[in-house]
Amino acid sequence: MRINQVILYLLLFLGVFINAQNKQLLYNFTDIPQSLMVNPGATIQNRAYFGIPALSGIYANVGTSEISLYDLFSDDGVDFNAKVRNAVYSLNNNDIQRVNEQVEILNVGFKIGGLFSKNYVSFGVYQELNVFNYWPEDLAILAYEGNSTNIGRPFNLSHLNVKGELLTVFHIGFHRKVNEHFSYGIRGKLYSGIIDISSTKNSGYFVTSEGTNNIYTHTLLSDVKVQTSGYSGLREEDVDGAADVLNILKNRALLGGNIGLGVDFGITYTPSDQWTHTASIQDLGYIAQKKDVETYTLKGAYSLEGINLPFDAIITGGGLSDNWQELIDEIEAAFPRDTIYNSYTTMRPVKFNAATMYNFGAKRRSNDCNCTSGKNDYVNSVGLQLFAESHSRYPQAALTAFYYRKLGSALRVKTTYTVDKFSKTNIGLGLSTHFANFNFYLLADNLLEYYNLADANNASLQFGFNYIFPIKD
Amino acid sequence: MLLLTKKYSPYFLFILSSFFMLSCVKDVDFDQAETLKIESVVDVSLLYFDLQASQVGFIPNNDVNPYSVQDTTKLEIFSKPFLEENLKEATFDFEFLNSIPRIFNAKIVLYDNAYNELDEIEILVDSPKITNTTSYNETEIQKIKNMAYMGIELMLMPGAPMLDPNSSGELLLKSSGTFFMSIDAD
Repeated sequence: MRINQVILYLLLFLGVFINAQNKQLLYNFTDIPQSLMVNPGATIQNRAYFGIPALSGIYANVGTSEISLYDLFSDDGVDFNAKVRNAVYSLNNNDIQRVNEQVEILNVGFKIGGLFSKNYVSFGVYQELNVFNYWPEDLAILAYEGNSTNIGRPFNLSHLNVKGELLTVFHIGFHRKVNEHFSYGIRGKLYSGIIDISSTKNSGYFVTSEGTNNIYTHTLLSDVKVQTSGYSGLREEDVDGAADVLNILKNRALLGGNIGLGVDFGITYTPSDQWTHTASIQDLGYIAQKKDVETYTLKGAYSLEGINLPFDAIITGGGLSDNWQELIDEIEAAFPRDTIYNSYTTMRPVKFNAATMYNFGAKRRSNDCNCTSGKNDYVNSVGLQLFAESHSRYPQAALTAFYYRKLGSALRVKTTYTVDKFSKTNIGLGLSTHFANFNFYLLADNLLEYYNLADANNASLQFGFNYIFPIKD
Repeated sequence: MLLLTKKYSPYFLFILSSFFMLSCVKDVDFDQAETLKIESVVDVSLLYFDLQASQVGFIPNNDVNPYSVQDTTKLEIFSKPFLEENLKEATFDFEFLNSIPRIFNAKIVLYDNAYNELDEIEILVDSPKITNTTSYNETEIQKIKNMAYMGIELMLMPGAPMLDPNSSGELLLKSSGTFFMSIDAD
């Protein structure tokens, strides 16, 4: 139980201190250099920047649909088992539990080819953890109730659907401002996978039904596969303690792991001063899981009616047989448990963003501020953003309405209202401050739930420090 | 640069800490997880057989001599540590369907790993359908936890008519176990 508690605390901690895969606050927030990470074609508002190493971008997000930690663990005097019961019966196999965390280790960008060049390069390294789980409804009910009250009900094994990855990403991006109206960007990514666990294409069922020769027939039809890479090496006998594990992981983080490739694309189209349209695709890529790979499969079909005692044969002199061992052998033959060492390929979750933005209000005098490009000097913007992310069953989508405002020369504010599977009341606030070339930004969503984070279904926070070389007018 | 960082660090810290201070987590008690208890009920088919009167007919003088057959099988549906920790109660259901015009006496015997007898359930099959339910409550459940083998001793009682290889009818056994689990957090 201790370990479970640690995990719960950890989930809560991440939920409190970090941000979600939908970076609705960062997207189009081009005062923050990291907006290039969600759209490599985003408007560039500096000559160069570098992130303060390891502090330039820290992001985490925890989401659970339907049930929050507070629903389970609130100290409200309600019997805990009643709350668990409620959770088991209110969650279904479309409910999601997810954790996403990213830490930038290095992030640098600069204009290339002289002051008036239209080309810009950025590169860096970040580490990412991603866990995505669909609630295994049928398996949870089978474990919770047993089969006794469920005679005739098939328990669907496809409800087992979980994916987790830990990786380091090395990236380099190129951005070109083609003219006053159009710019595009592309970012190449090299993934170094540290650990991957994936079980997303399962099928089959377990059912207990009325039998013909005996009271019940138990039938298992199973095609279940769990793919792992980077896992078996960690449980080998000569791996001794946390220090060894850390050393192995460190080595994999630096290209010693499973290698993959990916690409991001993005564009910004500005038909007039007042309108801006942007779109981007991130992580269109794969990782070839080749090293330290183990795949476990359970594939087969068997119906069991119990153990048949061959009295007929005994009477006619057939003698005793080892019924039990015969049965075990038969079942084992029906389900050849297999560990496969073949490599496999995982696709990264692809993210899509698109936004349209209307700029309005008084234009600011250009000498007020030394940190904007001078082109779009309207102080207000409103707009709509769409986000979608690919997953094993169907994409996750979110729609965001936002308002952006420049306050004085040093402060930029963006507020968002987002609707998605997790919440219909997600209000976010982002701040970007610019003092003496230092940029500090802080983005947090689900502010309405901050008064009680334990009850938040989804919460994210992102912050970081950059040093920015402003564009000279 | 370091100086600048220093100059503004109180500002950054203020914003950062105000976020953390404004956020809070209302009375949650994770120790509740210790009280987690899952009470699942599992039904499992156990032994079955189909004994034909025509086969019994091969037994010579079966109308006067009592005759018995027995078979024993290993029966470990759940692992020992799992049962030891989680099994609370159990029920065995036996159902005999007899269309042979003779009386049988069945003894179902539970053995431990060393073939020591733990319990014996005796069922006289003297009508076409006989059912028996034997329950093991919390004080008797240790017998089921220790059980490793289950045997059946089936005795054909003397009587008429004498059965021969052309006799018709059959004796069927169906059985199942219902296991009441109580799975705790620790």
